Amino acid sequence: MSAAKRVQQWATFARTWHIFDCKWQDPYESANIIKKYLMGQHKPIYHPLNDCGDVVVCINSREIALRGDEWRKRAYFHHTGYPGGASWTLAWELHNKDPTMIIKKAVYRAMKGNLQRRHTMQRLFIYHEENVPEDIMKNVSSQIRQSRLVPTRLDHIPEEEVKQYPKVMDYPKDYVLK
Amino acid sequence: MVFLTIANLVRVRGPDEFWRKRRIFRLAAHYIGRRRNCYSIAVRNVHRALVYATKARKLKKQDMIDLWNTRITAACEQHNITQFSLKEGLDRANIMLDRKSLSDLACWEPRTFECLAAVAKEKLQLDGFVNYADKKLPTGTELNLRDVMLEHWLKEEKH
Amino acid sequence: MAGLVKVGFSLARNAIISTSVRSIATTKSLNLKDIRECKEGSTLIVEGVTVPSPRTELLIRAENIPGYEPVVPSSKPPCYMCALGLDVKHTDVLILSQFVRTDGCMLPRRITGLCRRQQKKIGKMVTMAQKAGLMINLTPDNCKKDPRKRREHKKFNTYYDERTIFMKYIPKPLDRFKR
Repeated sequence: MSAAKRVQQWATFARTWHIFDCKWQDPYESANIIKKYLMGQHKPIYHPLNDCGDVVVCINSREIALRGDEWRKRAYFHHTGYPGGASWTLAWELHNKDPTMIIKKAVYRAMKGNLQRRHTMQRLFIYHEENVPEDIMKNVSSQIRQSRLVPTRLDHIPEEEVKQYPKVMDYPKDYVLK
Repeated sequence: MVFLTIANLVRVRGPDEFWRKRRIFRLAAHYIGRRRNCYSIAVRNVHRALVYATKARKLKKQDMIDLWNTRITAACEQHNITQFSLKEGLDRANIMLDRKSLSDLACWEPRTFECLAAVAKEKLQLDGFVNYADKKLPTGTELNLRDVMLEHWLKEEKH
Repeated sequence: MAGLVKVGFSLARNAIISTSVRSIATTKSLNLKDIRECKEGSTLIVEGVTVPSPRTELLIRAENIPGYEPVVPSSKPPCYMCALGLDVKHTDVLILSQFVRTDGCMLPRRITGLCRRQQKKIGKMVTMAQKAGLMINLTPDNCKKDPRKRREHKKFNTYYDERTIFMKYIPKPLDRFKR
């Protein structure tokens, strides 16, 4: 193998570190995206027996958004193994206890259950806020596109812009401003 | 063999027992333990293995198709085109490549695949064929960094 | 004596809580009015000032857009939102905030002038935006003005699907397994 070929080989199979911002993202939608990068399915050289998966760093996992009333409708099941050891935790309770758990479970469930799954999960780092340890952040060289747009709060838009925004509704003639 | 009595004819079990069993044992040669040494256990396992092999002949083809699809989708994402519109564009341009050759090109000759994607895009544009799935989330080369970069990355000073 | 005290008390309350003053109709209301209060010494002056609507210049109507072709005249012309044909999402707070009062309450249909369907749709989207905490500055005064200070499940981010607005029955995840 020539030196150039050897370098090409390294470059092809080198692990890339991706960052994913979970702010206002649905964890179950984003799990499908993250899974693709963890398993290496975003590379044309993918093969199930080929160790070409990348590393994903998730930040802001506290800021994830669930749809509709799922915060109080979705329950997570756990069984201690002893009789009467079953417990159901609602999504918001789980998120209170550990803000990284929902996204971790979502990614874990998105992948097919085989012997590789737990090793693939080792390459997923989740942080509940923006502060990532320096030794991890320095490896990151790519970012994964979010699937949902992050909405802007009305009080974060400058007041001038709100006033100048085109209007669709006008007050009737006899309206008293409130 | 010649059987003079009916009773003996009934008892005969096919060709010579040794060769019949040997045929099964040959197939069970790579098993471990009693599965390879005891005939009654070996024959059960050999039959099961043959059934699996029959089913797997079909599954293997499906598995390969899935793998090719994964690879083509991955390569298409890099050039901001969906697999559907790539196929549509190539068909209209009279480039009849199947999934296997497309995935081989994507894997071993990425530049060729890039040209194919460009040809498909150009052809679709000439024909006025619009796939809105491509426009929705631009990827790869047409990615606008401002859309995806984290805010504080944009703000921080680049040295 | 008791009556005098009561009158004095009510006057004092009127001076403090301005909302109760607003219910007094001072003039015949025919124009857009802004009620202003100014205090000069010990007297509180409440006046309804006729103001031009701040929205008239920025107003967008479908018939003013060049290239707009009205639909074949049916029995009734469409309302202005139907005519515009905008795809409004619950995150478009700049549009939704035009339909609410300063306390975040949806305006009634006689004021918005929408058709029944649009009124229902916009009303629900305003609710969605409020629940998601996107219009937190348009809330009653006793609100804490920070979605994270809400209790239990309400303090986490929630997004909504606009397709559910006119869905009578929203299927639950477990309904997939029903026969």
